[in-house]
Amino acid sequence: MESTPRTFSLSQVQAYLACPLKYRFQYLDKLPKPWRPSSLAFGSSIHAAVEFFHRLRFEGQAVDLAQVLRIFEADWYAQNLEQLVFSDRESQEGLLEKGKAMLTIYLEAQRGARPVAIEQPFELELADPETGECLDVRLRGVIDLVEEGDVLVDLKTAGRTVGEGDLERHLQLSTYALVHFLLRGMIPRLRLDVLLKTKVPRFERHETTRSVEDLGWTARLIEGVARSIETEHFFPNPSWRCSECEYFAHCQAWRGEQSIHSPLVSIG
Amino acid sequence: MKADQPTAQPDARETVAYAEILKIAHEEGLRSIATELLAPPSDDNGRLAIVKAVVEVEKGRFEALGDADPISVEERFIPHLIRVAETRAKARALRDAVNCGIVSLEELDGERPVAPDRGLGSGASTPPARSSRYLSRTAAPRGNGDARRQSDASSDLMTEGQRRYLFRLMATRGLVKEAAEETLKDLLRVDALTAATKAKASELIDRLLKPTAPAAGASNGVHTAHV
Repeated sequence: MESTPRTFSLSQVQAYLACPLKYRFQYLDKLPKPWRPSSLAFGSSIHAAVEFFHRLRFEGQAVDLAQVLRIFEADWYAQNLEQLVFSDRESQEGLLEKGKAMLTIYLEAQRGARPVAIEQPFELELADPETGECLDVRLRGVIDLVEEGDVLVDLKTAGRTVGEGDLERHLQLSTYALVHFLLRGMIPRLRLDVLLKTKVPRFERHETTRSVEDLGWTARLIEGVARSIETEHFFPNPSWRCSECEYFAHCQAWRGEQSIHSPLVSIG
Repeated sequence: MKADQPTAQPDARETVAYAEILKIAHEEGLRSIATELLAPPSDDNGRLAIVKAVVEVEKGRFEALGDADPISVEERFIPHLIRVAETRAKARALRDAVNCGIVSLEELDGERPVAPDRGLGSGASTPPARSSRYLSRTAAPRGNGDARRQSDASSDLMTEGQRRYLFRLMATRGLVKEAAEETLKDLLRVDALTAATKAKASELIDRLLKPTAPAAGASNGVHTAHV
């Protein structure tokens, strides 16, 4: 038995919840991904440009839209040097233009509160905020943006608007709040900034918060995921995501639990 | 072979321990060490952490960068990439400050050195060879601290996170797309970016992030340097 609790990233927790078998392929078997969906790469390039923008603001420098767009263009070009898989309606050039349009409306909407932290990393031992019980799990991650007044912000690119239920159960925001509560003893304000990749790009802001009970639920969920990983429960979760999963072929070859210490299958 | 002779092993490399450089820096009037996290590890950048260290000693101020990602550290250090990157940055800045040209062990992969085989047979107890104040010559680690890296040459190649970061740095200089790609190929001295190594990419990032003189141009808000 290990003397210190294992550390999981928030991304790992989300990956396991999305599909436990994909988690195993990615994090344990470390199978190379034969390709990447363009949607992931696109969101990542938007994120890089937004981070650059906020860093300029954080440093009190003048913000130049052209410079931010150039960062996006550069990052998107670099990502396309490796094979990306585009949907029928999308292309490298089309997404470049869409990304520029999205960033333009994003920058126009950024008035007022200055950032106090950008891409703020955290790592801590999880505890149940209701009981104080130590959960024997370490969690690490990065908070996209912290604004004045303890507002923790997550930025997403999405194809559709966010519903009320999505916001209440948004795991990333819940985890931000849990971390803030455990480190500082208070529940922060939360905001989800959504850049919509619709035909005419849109920007939405959704403010929310969490109760201590919500945070207890979140802590127990993360603990449950950690225990499931430690006890090697890996199974597929069929969903709409399967059509763009890089491990689809490996998943098709899957036939039940096997040792995690050897690659499952060899796909030629 | 005498114990103080350099080993002739082709994989031998010279290293100095961080603790040793720090001790020397204190002896030479270390005033302060400050660090700044420039890039936190995330899944978007291949979990690459980059930290800047600024060391002030009596003779001046020295800056350096340190990076760490899951491939460049022992597995047990993977949860602590920021700390490893910070130690590497501090080690490099301290080396500059104390005029030590030998790489520190911590800058490499964090693996503990294996005593070089001096042909003395098992059980021979020999202190590490020293050819200078700073130098301890050790064989390249032979343990299985990172078997993946040794068995998979592709892990020595420039990561996606490094490539993207380099292109973004080029963009701050007004170079994008093919112009940036050609410039990077020149700077990395490769025919194709897929041939660039992680070490070379890291070195180039380091060079590009070195601050310019105040008169050299406006800051880009993140990092400035001339190519």
